[in-house]
Amino acid sequence: MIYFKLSVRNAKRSFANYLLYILTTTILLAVTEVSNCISVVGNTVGMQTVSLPLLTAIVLIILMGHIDSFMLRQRAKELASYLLLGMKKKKLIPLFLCEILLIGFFCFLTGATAGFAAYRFLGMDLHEEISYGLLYCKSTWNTFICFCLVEAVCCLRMKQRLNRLQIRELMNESCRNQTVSRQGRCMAWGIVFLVSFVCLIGFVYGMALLPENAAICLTALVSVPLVISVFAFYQWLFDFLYRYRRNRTASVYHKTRLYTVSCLTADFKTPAVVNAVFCICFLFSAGSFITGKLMLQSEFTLFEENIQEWMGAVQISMCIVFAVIYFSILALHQIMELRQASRNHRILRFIGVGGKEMKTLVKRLTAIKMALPMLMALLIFLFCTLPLNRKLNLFLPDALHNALFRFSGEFFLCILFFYLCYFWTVNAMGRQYI
Amino acid sequence: MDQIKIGAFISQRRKEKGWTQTRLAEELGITDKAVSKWETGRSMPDLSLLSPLCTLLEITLNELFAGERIPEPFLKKKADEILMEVITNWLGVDRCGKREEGGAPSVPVPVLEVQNISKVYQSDSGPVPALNDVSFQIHRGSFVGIMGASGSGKTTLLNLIATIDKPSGGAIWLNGKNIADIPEEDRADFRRGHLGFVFQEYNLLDTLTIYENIALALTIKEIPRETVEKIVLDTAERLNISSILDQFPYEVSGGQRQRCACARAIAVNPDIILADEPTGALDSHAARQLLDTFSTLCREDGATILMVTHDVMAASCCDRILFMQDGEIKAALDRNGEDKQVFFADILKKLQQTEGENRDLF
Repeated sequence: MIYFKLSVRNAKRSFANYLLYILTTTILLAVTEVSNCISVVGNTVGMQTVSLPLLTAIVLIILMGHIDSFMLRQRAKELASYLLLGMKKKKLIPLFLCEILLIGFFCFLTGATAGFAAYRFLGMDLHEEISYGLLYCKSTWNTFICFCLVEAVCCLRMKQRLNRLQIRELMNESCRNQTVSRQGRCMAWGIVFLVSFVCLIGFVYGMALLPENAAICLTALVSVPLVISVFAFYQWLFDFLYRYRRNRTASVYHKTRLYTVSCLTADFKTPAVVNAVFCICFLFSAGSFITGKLMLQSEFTLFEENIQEWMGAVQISMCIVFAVIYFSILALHQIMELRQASRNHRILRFIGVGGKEMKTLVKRLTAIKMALPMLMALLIFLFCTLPLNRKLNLFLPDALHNALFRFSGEFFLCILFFYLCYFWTVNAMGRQYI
Repeated sequence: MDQIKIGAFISQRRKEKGWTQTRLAEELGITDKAVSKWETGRSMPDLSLLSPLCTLLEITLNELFAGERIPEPFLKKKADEILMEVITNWLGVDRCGKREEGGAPSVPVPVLEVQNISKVYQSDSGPVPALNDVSFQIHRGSFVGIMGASGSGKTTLLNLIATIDKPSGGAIWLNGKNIADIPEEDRADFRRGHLGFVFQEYNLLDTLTIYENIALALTIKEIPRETVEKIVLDTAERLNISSILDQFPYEVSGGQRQRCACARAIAVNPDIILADEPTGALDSHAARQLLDTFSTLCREDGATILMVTHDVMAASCCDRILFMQDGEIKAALDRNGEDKQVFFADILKKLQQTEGENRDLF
């Protein structure tokens, strides 16, 4: 009974942290539901769209793992207190996992309903053969399977981690930091990044310049150097920043630069993986937007008119879905980080950082963290748009020449709009913690 | 010091007064078990209880430590010796002691001058006075302590000097500038240039290493970046934390964290260091080390420190103590070059006196 009371009291106290967990999970599950609706409808009309929910599930596993780690860090002291009170780990771990699962199930119900509502709102009606009721059942069942898979993986990882951590480590979990041993990996990641990026550029130029048969092979394989270069880039970037800070380079000791760099590299596990996932979301979003726009052009005919229109609408919806995943979760994360950093802000005030400087510092950090996943995407766009546009010009009608440049421009304008809206929201909500 | 003898003496005096253990415990606000432990010599009364215990048993502190009544004048001398022995054992060797010639300026220069400061908070039930007409001066290179019970206004006073709060009346002059007149937007600049802080809870940034925590204060003060490393290393060496510079705050002990906080405060060479119960979270050994550091900083570097404390041991390292009660400074005690042990006894006497006066009022 005392454990239950303690649990309820702590849950009330950490409501804001749970809010982040609930919102993130709900958004992710809503997105999965939309993908499943598209997949079910696609299957009905004979299209192979299973890759979409699979991709969403992978994104879900990585991001949920990250959010679970965040929750563990928030509640580590509380869990250590339970152990100190005499609770056995055998009892504590299921209790904590049950709590996470129950909240997760609530998020599944909310997310699935919200996702289905969003799908209907987007109005992608190409399913006269399938009723909304049946569609809801099928897509929700698929989402449920996906949810179970994600929760099983996350719970297993969490269980292993909790089993490993001792009381003393749990006590310090919330302020644990990057270990010094990471310093040696910078060079290795740099080489991996360079090699994979050169391969990516080579593949893209090959796709644009080589004959059809060879180009098809390269198109099938291009995602491999793409994914490796994105992951390697962020690993290298964070390791480089960490080394820059730990090597005591003189340039880091300028105004609040040291604090900014430490905030970017402070996490126990670098946010490199999360940034890479966000970057891939961003690239998918861009890909969906450009394909969708192309499908909706009347000058371009590839399928039957209504199917092509539906595919175009689906692609644009997926673009929105990935953009929403990207910005919503990033924004929520920023708000939580600002809340946690309020103690740091108070200390900085004491050592002489003025109110105006503090606001600028927080804005700069938010802007960097929200834009960081786009960095690699921009690099890829910069190197790949030119050859791909040249290739597209070869088989597109004259009216659609340089369409890739135009659609990329439109996509970046949309993203800029999203970015500014979310940036403003984070700043408005985070002001209370400065 | 014979603990059993002291226990037996407490028991004897209690019985002479016709009190039960329960009665004595109630008077002191403690449990019967604690009194029983003292009387059987299993433990000694806490420092904070020595003074009220002596008052209740109508004995002197010397008699308590001697474990017997001292009726004859020649025995008083012996008891004083015992008291000195007890205090010396407890406080450690006075390494700071008297100031060396030339260590402090011959003509005292006031760094901080508080003039008729008052602070009134507005609450639902009406105005609540927190400080009333407080005035004092602190000279360059001095180590001043503020003592008082909880709610006596110590932290309010420190907050006003730290420019975190604004006084309702009066003036605070720091190096000839009235800080009450500094506009809100310039206060951070003022803190950056003139003040250093050491808190009970260390207030180090968890995301930075010990080295970076010290360096951050320097970078915010815009010290040339080439000199940052030298200053950090020098300061760390002085405070004996060179070996832990690459570690994060959670990886080091409380005493080391507090010395890091102290290094961060002194690295920027402030006009005055404000310390809010800096020994509150430390064990006696770490507390003694920190206080030795403070004393050395004052004696050798001419640093000026204002420290709020509850702890008599911490206060005994200061040059001057201000006793606060109900938002006013009730008394002041100067060390005047006395040994730490003698000053410690003086503080205890003063506390006893102040509490006695307070009791008489009711």
